[in-house]
Amino acid sequence: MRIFFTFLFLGSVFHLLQTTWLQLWPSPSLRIEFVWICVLYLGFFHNFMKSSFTAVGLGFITDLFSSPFLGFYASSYLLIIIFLRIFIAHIFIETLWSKLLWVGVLSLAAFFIEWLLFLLVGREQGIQNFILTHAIPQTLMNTACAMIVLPFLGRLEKILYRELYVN
Amino acid sequence: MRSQSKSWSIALISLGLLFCLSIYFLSVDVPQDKDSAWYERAFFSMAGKFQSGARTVSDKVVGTVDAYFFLVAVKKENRDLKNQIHQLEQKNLLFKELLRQNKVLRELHGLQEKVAWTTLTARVIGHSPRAEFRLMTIDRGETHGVRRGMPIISSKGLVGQVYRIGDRSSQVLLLTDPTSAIDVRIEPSGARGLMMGRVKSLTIDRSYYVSAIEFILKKYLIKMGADVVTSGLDGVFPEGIPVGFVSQITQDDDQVVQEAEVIPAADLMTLREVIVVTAWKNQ
Repeated sequence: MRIFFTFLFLGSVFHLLQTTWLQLWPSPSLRIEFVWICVLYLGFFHNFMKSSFTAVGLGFITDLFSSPFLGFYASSYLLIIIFLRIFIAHIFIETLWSKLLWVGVLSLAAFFIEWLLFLLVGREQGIQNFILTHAIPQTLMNTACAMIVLPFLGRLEKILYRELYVN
Repeated sequence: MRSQSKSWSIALISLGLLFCLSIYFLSVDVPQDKDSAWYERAFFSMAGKFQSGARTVSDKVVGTVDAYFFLVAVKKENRDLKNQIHQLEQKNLLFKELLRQNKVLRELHGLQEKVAWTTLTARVIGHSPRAEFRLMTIDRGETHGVRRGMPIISSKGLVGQVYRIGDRSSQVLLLTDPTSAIDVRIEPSGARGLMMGRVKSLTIDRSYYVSAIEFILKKYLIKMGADVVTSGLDGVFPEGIPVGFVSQITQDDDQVVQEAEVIPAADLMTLREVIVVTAWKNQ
């Protein structure tokens, strides 16, 4: 439960930062997605139950802050966590660079899931252009962001719970 | 062993239910005249307070820095502004006269006032943290009389409509959001169409979200730069609010309809204040 509430609190703080002081930074069309990196961190280092429930919670918060559809990011985050936890034993995430590679791969996978969810609500045309133009740059942005946020979250957990997950 | 598998089963079932709930929320279409759900209101009431506080702090810091560094330019700006005020006062006199003439002529022809709006000024306190959707938060909510679906405008033109409401803050769906749809008219051809939000291309240095008007009949001749205004036929927006101008026209020989791209009149990402139209009357 402590992981759930810690990350929900962190997610809310990150969202408040992004909606106020960092609202146009670095660009209105490219954003630093702190919460998405938190979701991936959970998928990398926590078991299925902890990571999935927390990811759904973070997804609902993201939906309320930034999506016209409640459940959009909650479904997307949950599907990514399921995918990640199925393959976690078969992927190499011991070094920071390998983690960054998987952040990139999973960010692209998330765009694909978003497109599928848009098909569900019948507004795929609006998002198709976005995915075509923004998927690669946003993925690179997420990877760069993960370089700082993943070790930060690891250190934070070490300070809070005396457990070290990330080098 | 058995108790462990039982707890796993319960957890998996609850996760499945959560996923189904997410998909249900995603699929459900909230009617325009219905207000936001109680949990959305509660969340917005809480988040709005933090956003409003953060914006106030940010404005104060920026204001102090501005006051310190730009004091030098104030004298010159003051002189220019006085000149502008003088010119605007002259224009105002002319408009007052035109208004009086218009009123007399309307009375002569027995016409009523065409548009009567009741408005409310609001401060922008936040924007969507994700780039996929275009939403912003304003510091006016249910207690100020804001309701779902109310049009939001700026001095330049249409901004969007109220999407979620909280106690003292609301979320606005901008006209460039991919899920936004507005019934518009292109002047002077009078062509009507449904305007949807769209991302045109990736530009790092500025926001370049446009809207596209789809399904315009080919019989209408549309020119580049033509003004786009709301038609008022969707029942959400009053008629005649400037929306933007046509920046590109796409015609396909195989299609019976054409498409126009529209650049919004208002710069939606740098807005600080907006106007909520709480009531209006179209004749």
